[in-house]
Amino acid sequence: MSRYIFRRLLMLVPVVLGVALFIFAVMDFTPGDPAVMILGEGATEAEYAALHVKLGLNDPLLVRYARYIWNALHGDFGVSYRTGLPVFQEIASRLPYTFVLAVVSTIIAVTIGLPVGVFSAVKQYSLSDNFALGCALLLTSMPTFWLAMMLVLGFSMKMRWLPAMGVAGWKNFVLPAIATASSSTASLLRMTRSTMLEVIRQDYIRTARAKGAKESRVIFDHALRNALLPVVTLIGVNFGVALGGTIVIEQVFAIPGLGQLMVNAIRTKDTPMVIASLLFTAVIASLINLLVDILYAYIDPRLRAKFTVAKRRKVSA
Amino acid sequence: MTAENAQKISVENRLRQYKKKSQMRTIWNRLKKNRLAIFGLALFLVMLAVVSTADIYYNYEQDAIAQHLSLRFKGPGQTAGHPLGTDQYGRDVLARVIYGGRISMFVGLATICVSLSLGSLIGATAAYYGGKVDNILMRIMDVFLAIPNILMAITLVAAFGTSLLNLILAMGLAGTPKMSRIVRSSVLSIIGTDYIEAARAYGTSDMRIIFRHILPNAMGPILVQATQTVARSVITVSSLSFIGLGISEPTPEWGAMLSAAKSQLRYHPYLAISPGIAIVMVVVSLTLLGDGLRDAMDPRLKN
Repeated sequence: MSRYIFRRLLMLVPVVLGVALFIFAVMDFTPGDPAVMILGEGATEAEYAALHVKLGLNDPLLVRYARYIWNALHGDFGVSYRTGLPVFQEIASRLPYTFVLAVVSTIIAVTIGLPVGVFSAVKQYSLSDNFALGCALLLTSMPTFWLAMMLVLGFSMKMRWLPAMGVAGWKNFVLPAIATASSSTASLLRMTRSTMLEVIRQDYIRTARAKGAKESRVIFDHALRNALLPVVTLIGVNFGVALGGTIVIEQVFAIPGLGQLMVNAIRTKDTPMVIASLLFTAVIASLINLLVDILYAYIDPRLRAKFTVAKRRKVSA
Repeated sequence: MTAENAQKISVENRLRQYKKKSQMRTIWNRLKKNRLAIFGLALFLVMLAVVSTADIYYNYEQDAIAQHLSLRFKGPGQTAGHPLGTDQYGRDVLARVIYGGRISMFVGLATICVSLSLGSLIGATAAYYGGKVDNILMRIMDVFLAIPNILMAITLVAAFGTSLLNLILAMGLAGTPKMSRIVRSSVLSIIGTDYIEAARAYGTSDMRIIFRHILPNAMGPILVQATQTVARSVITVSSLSFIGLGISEPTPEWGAMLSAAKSQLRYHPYLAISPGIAIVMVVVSLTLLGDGLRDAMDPRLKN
């Protein structure tokens, strides 16, 4: 098992380096001179040139990339062009909001989407199945920020139950979490339903029923466990989507998270900030994906077996 | 001579009849029976027709752009000629929603053209040549897949700048990795078949085999993914505009309209309703169509 985790972690390294190179290269195209951003329009040519040398901007792209990675490995993600403060500090202060929002919304999505999906599959074509599917269709078809606005309209402005913006307390996170969770709940529901429907028709389910197993045992032990692989994978993918989604949701609720930081950085062409915040999001998304995969390999004896067999073969060879 | 001709025609007819039983035809026949899918298709076509003929009943400059400050914040049904009311500059909301649909649908369809052509090229090349080519291309795609789609679009927009063309490019490129994966797996399922072997034995060029023989037959899953991608793009472009990285005022775009409506939410909530419903309608229609297509391609899945 630890070998599997190690190998997966190792596979993450080129992905992260690739993501960093991509973001770095793309940001290189961004128009605007960092020296002008820092010194303002009024400085002399010589001052600009001196700063170019100081920041190492005259080096080729790959040299700057390698230096960036080297510094990043030492915890130095550069200095914001706008504020002059270390980028890492700012990101670290804002990341918790975004991360918590993504985690909570993923939990909401799993606790609602999974059971309702199973129920829908078991009661296929019933009234409640159709109702659940209809809701799921509507939820996936809504932009999350619009749902967020409607929630604010209903629960903050009309009912006055929950605050519309800010981060004063846990109440402030209820609506954002629901809005962020909406589309992943719906996609999880649809995925659970369709894989369950496929599994329910397998021979081993008929066998289990023929043996006289209780219906709940057939559904939860025999069917659900086998239907779980694509569903669990989707949970990992959805976490990344939720991370991206919070960027938009944060704008609605004025949450000072990573998304707001990123959008502001893009608007002001604060390149070090943009690179670092994108990099952090991508790395977190990949790490969660990895975590989900590992968790799954841990749960699923088939995957575990596959791995131990591979190891044994290597020993004999 | 005439007899010969007649025989030739009858053979052609028979061939045509035979051809009619093509994959696309069977899929369409199955799709026709799916009421929800047909409803989605019809809804989408109607909306497409409405937005593309908008110039007949609206004047873009006059109705969607020009400000009429005497007509600010008229609610739906309050004034004649403005069924959905007017916004903070006195512009007709319905006209702006319709012209906004033009942008959203155009961006959605143009985006899929970008990711479809690039994704097909990469995916088909990877699957067809296999081995090292496949490995390298797919590892590169893995890197891009690690970045959530909307983040990727945001990155590219940040680099290119916000114009309509850049938005399409950014979103098209952002959708390419997923598309190339789907094309690849779809092509892989075709590549071992006898008719590809036959085409190869015949000495057909690689490019011709890929584009003439493989891709048309691998179209099923690709088409399903394409409809879903168009639907997603409509949401993504509105999200980008909403956070101010897409299309901005005064151009009517659903996300930009909702962004403007956000500050009026307390006193003029109707401004936030109609653009949102428009988005939902487009996305629902495409999702229904996509689901129907998927079931029609593979009836086994429908259970």
